[in-house]
Amino acid sequence: MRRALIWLCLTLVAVPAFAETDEAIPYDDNKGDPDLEVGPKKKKKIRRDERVREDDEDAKTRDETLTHLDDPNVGLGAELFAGVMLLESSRGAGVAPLFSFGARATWEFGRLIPDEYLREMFFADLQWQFAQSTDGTTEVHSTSTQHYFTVAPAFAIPLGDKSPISVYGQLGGGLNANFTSLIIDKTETPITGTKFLFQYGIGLRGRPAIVDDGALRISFRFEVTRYLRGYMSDTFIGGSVGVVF
Amino acid sequence: MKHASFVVAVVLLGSGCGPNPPAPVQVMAVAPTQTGAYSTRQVTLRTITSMTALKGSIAEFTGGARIVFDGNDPLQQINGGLVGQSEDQRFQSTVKDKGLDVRGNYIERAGVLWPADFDTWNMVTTYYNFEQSYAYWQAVNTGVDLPELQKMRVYYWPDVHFDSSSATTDNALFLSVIKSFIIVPQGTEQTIPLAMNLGVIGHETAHKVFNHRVMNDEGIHPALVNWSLAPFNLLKSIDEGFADFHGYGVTCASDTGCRPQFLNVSIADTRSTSIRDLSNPNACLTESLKSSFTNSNSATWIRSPDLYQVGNIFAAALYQAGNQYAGLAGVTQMEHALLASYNDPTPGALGLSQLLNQNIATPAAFTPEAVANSIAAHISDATLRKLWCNEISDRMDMTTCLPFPCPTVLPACPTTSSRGTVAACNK
Repeated sequence: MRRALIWLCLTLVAVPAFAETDEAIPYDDNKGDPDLEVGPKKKKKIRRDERVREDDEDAKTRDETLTHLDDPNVGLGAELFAGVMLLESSRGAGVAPLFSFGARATWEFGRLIPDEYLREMFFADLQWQFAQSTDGTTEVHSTSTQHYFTVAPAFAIPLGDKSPISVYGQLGGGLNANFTSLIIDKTETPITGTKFLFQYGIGLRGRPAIVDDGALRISFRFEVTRYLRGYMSDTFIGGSVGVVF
Repeated sequence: MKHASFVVAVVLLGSGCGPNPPAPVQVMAVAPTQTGAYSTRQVTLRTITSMTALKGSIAEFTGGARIVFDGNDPLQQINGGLVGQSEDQRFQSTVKDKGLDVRGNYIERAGVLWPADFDTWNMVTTYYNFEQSYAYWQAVNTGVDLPELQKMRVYYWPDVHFDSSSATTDNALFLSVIKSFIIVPQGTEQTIPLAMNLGVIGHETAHKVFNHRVMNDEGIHPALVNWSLAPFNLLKSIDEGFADFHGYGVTCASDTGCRPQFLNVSIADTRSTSIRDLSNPNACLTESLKSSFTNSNSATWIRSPDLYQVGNIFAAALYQAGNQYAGLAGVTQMEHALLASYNDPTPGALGLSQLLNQNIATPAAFTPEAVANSIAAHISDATLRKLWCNEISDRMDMTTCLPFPCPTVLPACPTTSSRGTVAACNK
């Protein structure tokens, strides 16, 4: 019984195949549609189209695997930066503007992505930044030093196809180390503390090539970065310059 | 659970919460040591409710305000000027920028908060000084709370202008016009900041108590507008002198002990501090000072060091009488008597408020003798009262009361009191 059922099914499926050996009978509503014509000419065209499509895919794959030749650097960089740190004032209004500087290492981890466009979009910074304030009278004064250690991935959008300039947004975290000394009549009372640091910001980043093959590039940024150290908020406005190889 | 902790941490971070442990809070501040030198010290703030905003039941800090007194300001000309304005109008027309909460910055170590910058050191110390001052006043007021010293409004580091384009610096003030204390920025003074000086904050709180109890809590008392010459000068001088005397009293709570020259550590100019030394045995109304006191108009007097010098005569007399009687205990008795004399409607022992307000139209009745008598009437111990009468009559050269004592002018002074006991004033 089971065998008979299988045989019946196979027979029913085979019926159109037997018909194909006769003349082709096109459906009425497909009459005149060259794409659906399946004559010998058409079969040739389909094969040609498939070849073109396969060629395109091959080219794309080849482009993805060769993008590193257009921009052959490995995506590691180092920068020095400086600017003004607008330290939140304990006085309750306004900020205390301070000169601030620092250094950062950058890893363009987007280069791990084969896509030509996406590989330009991701990088991360490991950075240290410094700012110092001094206030008070000769007899009673304090020096407060802020160190900001952060790791911050960023998302960049190039300004045009293969443009070396991009805008970016960044979000990260780290630690703030605060070294404070209160000096009263030459007697120093030091105190050190650390706080969790939250960082976010935006900027403009450039990485134009300085050698023909692009293996070495200079990098620069103009940035606005905000640090939340505990419940205090500081804003950094500055610029940086460095190299990417 | 770990996720929940992380979410809570992020929410707290985003909300900008600071360390606000409930009182009492252990915190580091700047205070004088036993040697008189200033040093960092762990103290306890007992009334604080927000360490970050420096707010508590005693004082409430505000930062970044802008306060301008400008006679040409149309807002300050409404109702004929600040004198004719209501309390709220005065506040609105002079406090141009209301400011924001301060943001104390701390590092926590073993349950103790350490200020992490100069301003936080300064603010914490100032709050502590307000607390210490309050404790003094409560003790002097025989343990009874003083409502005028609750939730004192303190403007920290405001931009203050008194009819000038230049901002005021190097001062700590009580401004009765806006019923606020102001701690203005440091300028050229390079010594112990005024707000870190316990005696200075004690002095300023004394102005508030005087304003509240003697001057009816009025921002601009009618006597200050309508009076001139000696009565006006006397009113301003005793306000300063009594504030110095109470400021001295507040310093007694410090490790250093009582400091009759508490201003010395904060004001480098010794000419202005020496004339305010409570322990100065030579505080007397000289002929030149008497002339200035009698003849100076209001505008001259409030800018003159003579204002403080006459005030110092009263303060020195209070100090010397108490000290002669029983040392510090005697001075403490004088502090009680002085506060008791601020406002007392009892017939025969009228307080200074009654003396002032009953004589708005007759300022000539507001004399050094009348003030001295009001204080004498509130000294319970007869010997101490006699010493007070002796001191003040010699130091203020009360020639209207001769032969001394004179029951018509100084009825509260005992018959045993006499002139000529202060050698320095009888040369």
